[in-house]
Amino acid sequence: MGVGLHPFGRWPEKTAQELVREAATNALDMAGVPFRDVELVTCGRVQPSSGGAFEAVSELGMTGVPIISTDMACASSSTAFRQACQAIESGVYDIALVVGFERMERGLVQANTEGTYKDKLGMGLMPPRYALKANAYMDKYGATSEAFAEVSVKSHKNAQHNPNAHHQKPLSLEEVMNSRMISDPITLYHCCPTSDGASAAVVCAKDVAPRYSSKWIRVSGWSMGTPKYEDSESLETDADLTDAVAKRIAGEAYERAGIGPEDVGVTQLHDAFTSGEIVRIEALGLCGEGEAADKTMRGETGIEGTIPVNTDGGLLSRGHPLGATGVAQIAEIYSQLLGEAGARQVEGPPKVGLCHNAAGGANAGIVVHLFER
Amino acid sequence: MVPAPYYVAIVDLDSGPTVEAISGSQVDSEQIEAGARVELVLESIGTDEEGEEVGAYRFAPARNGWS
Repeated sequence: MGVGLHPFGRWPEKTAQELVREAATNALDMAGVPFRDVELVTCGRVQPSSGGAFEAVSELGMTGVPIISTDMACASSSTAFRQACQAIESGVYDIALVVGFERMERGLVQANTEGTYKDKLGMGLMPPRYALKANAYMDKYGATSEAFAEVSVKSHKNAQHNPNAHHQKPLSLEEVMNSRMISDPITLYHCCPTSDGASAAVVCAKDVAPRYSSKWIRVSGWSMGTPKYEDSESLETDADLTDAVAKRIAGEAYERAGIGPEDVGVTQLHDAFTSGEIVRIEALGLCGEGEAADKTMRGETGIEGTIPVNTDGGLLSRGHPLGATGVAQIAEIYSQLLGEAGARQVEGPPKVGLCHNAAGGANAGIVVHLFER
Repeated sequence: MVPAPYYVAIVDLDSGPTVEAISGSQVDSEQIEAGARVELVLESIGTDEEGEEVGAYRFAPARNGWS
């Protein structure tokens, strides 16, 4: 019913409470819901330095509601959103507030391999995993590294219209290609930044929503889960080169919604690194296998393209405060479906939006939501 | 941690399983290509807290076509 963000970026002078207060107040105001009417708060956050969930939402008021904190790595707040939806579907609650927040250290985020042989061998870092996806894709389909760089160019182009984005300055293909090498072909600008930020959404039972607002979108499908051994031949290495898990999870979400990928008008997907976007466009069924690189090069994944993806800049430019990312994706879909995305608006506006949020590391989870207006 | 640069590969073993591995210290980028046959090399990656040498499995391009 309402969404809100604290702008993503570097906010070393701000506390988690300040970040959450701004995002949550924006969402509650948009929904027309006073905090005293909220019956449940679910929260996504990851890093201990972010502060506790109880403390983070404390400035909204002390109304005695349950506050549930969830850590599911990069997919924490989309999981918190799912928890809120399921609590409402159960009939126990009518109105929930979902918040996601993070205050992050600079530098590489490591998958949860601390102390393991992968950590000692330097295989616990995320860039090599995404570089493996890129190299496998290039080898299989003959794509070039320019296609992956073009993902970043498109992302930064979109983000210049997003006042909440961490990076709002366009980049040229040359700037992306020639930036510092991280893990071939992943250069610096193929990587999302670590950011501070917060996001919030108000979730409400359908029969209660009209008391507050006429502006809402509906959760029409969802699925979440973790890898199965048989999902992919390469899964046992954690690399999941073709995102077979996302394909399975998205299929379950489409089935629940009774729609298919051809119905999706706008998508927010987990582009922590550029290769993630190209591989996942295909895994989500938005185009055929081996087609995403070419479609990216032809601009079809842009705001005016046939399969608009990450219209707000995605993780690459909007930023990736781990716990806040999932609900930030949902916030963009909310704006797009209601035709309120301004210069980022996809023509239509689209009737169906998809969010794909992924957690990193071995046996890591995927959350997919489908929304309709 | 192993000093950079190093190369990460997914290696399909002839016997069936797949492993993720890093390259040996003497491997350079011109020797790396998708689908190439590789072989096991065992190398030290440093010492542990007690000063004991720590060895690891790594890969290098296969010599004489065997792996």
